[in-house]
Amino acid sequence: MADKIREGGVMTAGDPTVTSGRPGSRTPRPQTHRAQQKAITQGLRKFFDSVASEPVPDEFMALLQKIDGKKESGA
Amino acid sequence: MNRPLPAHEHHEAPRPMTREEEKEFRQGLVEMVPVLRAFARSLCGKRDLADDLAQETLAKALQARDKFRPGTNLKAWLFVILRNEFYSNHRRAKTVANYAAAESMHSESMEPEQHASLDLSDLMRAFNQLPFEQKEALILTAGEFSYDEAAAICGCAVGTIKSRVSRARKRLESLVEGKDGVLPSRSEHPENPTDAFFQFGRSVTEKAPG
Repeated sequence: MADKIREGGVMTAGDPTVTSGRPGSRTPRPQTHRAQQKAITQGLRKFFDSVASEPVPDEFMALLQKIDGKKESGA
Repeated sequence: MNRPLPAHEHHEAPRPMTREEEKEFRQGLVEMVPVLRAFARSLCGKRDLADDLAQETLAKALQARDKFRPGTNLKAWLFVILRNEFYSNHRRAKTVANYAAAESMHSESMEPEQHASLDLSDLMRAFNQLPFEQKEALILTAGEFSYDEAAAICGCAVGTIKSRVSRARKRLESLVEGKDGVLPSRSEHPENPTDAFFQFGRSVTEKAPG
């Protein structure tokens, strides 16, 4: 299953005119298409923001402080 | 926000930062941790791998801090380091294909959430199937950076970024709509990615601050 999808992906990526595997729907209606593209961008943005708004794990501050204390002589 | 991008190949001799610049730089790193984690998670998928990558990025950035020109775009500079780390780790591990296959299935760190007509967990499972360079092009241009900036970060032409974004969107659209094959089911579990890959970050992080 997964192999099939990846294979399909390569073919689609190689041919920019192919937007769909379903016959008869080669050109999506512009409005639907635009709305969908917008939803994709917003969805990705939402994912990015949701990770970025997670509390930062302590290791990060520990790392910055550790290097802080250790590095005095420059790289 | 709209600070100039640090040039990819400027040959101005690096000079040590002043105390004040150094302080500002460190403060900048702290502020950038959330977006670095988010960018890393977008590329890696998995939370622990992504956090390792983000930490390596910080360690590298501190080591190389004299190469940063104060007043230029710190976020872009850090993203360049992050993606270099990511790609060099991948080359080292040589398990990109396995890793991508495994990661495309999992959704544990991609929390499901409804988003208008588009289910975010479907979107993220589809996103995970994209090639890395398409993922980064999409994520970088989804809000953090302009196309020009994204091109500078990836070290490629603007046209390349545009075509990656466009191909990626088409692919996502057909995957999400189920026109073009089926998304991996949520219950399908990935095989374990090879150990080689999982070790990629730790060795570097541990010995980095020497």
